[in-house]
Amino acid sequence: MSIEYRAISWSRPKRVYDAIVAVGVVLFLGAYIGVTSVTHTGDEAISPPILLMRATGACAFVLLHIILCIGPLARLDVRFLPVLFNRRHLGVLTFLVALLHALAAIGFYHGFSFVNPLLSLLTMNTDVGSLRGFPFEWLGLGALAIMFLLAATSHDFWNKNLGARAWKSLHMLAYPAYALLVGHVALGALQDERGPIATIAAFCGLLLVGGLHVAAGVRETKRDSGQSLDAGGEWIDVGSPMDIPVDRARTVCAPGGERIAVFRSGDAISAVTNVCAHQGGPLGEGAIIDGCVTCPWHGWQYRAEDGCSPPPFQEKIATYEVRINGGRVQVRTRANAPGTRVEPARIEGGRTPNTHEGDA
Amino acid sequence: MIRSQRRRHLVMWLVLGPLALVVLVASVVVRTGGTP
Repeated sequence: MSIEYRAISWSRPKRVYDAIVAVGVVLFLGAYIGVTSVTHTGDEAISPPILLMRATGACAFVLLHIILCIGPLARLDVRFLPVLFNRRHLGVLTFLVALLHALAAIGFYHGFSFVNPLLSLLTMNTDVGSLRGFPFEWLGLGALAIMFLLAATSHDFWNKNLGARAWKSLHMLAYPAYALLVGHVALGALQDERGPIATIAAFCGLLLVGGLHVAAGVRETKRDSGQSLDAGGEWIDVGSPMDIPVDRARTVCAPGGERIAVFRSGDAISAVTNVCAHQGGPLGEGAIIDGCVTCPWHGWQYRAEDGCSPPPFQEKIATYEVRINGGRVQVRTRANAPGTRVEPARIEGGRTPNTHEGDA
Repeated sequence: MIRSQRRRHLVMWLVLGPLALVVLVASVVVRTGGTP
């Protein structure tokens, strides 16, 4: 969080993250070029410009796979959360590598004509009716345009000005970009492959990304189902107070489908929306740190009792009424306006009481 | 994510996932194998 504009709020973890990613990219490019140079010799030798084009293209494609796997991995296992923290840095780097690939390709195939290279790319092949001769470059160009848009708007400045909801919707364009790239690779690079390795790798990549999303989705659907409502349909059963780990939360799903994070801090139990105001991160998977609900994605903080970020920050999230009834924590399904203070339910003596005072 | 975004996320995958798979399979079917 920051109250003033900064291009990047550098920190040691960010520098380490970026250094690891940069070294990884250099190693990948080196290994790809090295191995291909050894395996393709004589008549099969590949010229340096094409080798650079292939290496950067493969690198960007692999990076996009990693980016798309981070989200579901973090939802399946909290140990992946540190990787998610700087996912946007990875996205920007992926765009830069993809741009290098595009420049190499356009420069090599379209740079020696008197026609504008970009115009040449768009008009040289228009055989859209043929799968074998499909202008796959268009798909790559479309994906690159999306990646540029995402990289350009990745900063919190755009998040704040577009609003978390619009920003998140915009950045879901990463999926169409991925689909375009699968088509770009399948109808382009894979058409020239004689061996099966690249094709198998592309299949495995698609199945991995898709499989992880399905696994995370199934798990969340199971968790969301089976919520127990009271007779009036107004309160959801959360469980025993002791079922909520200290300084952590249990997440329940309201009838409309919105998730509610119910936190326990000492003997106090409070409920807020599960959606962080920053990027929609799952607050219920975070913890109470320094007395505040802390988002596991980027550390945005809110007071559990009123959903307000501590001063000088001004973000607010919705709160929910909580009570302890018959030894069970219950949360009201209707959300309060963001920033509404709600008195926490208290665990008497740190033990589960039998009734809540309204029912006594 | 809020509910509508989760739903959009799901729909996107239901459409784009199989589409990408079909394109990948089709590309293998029509492939002839060119020069490196």
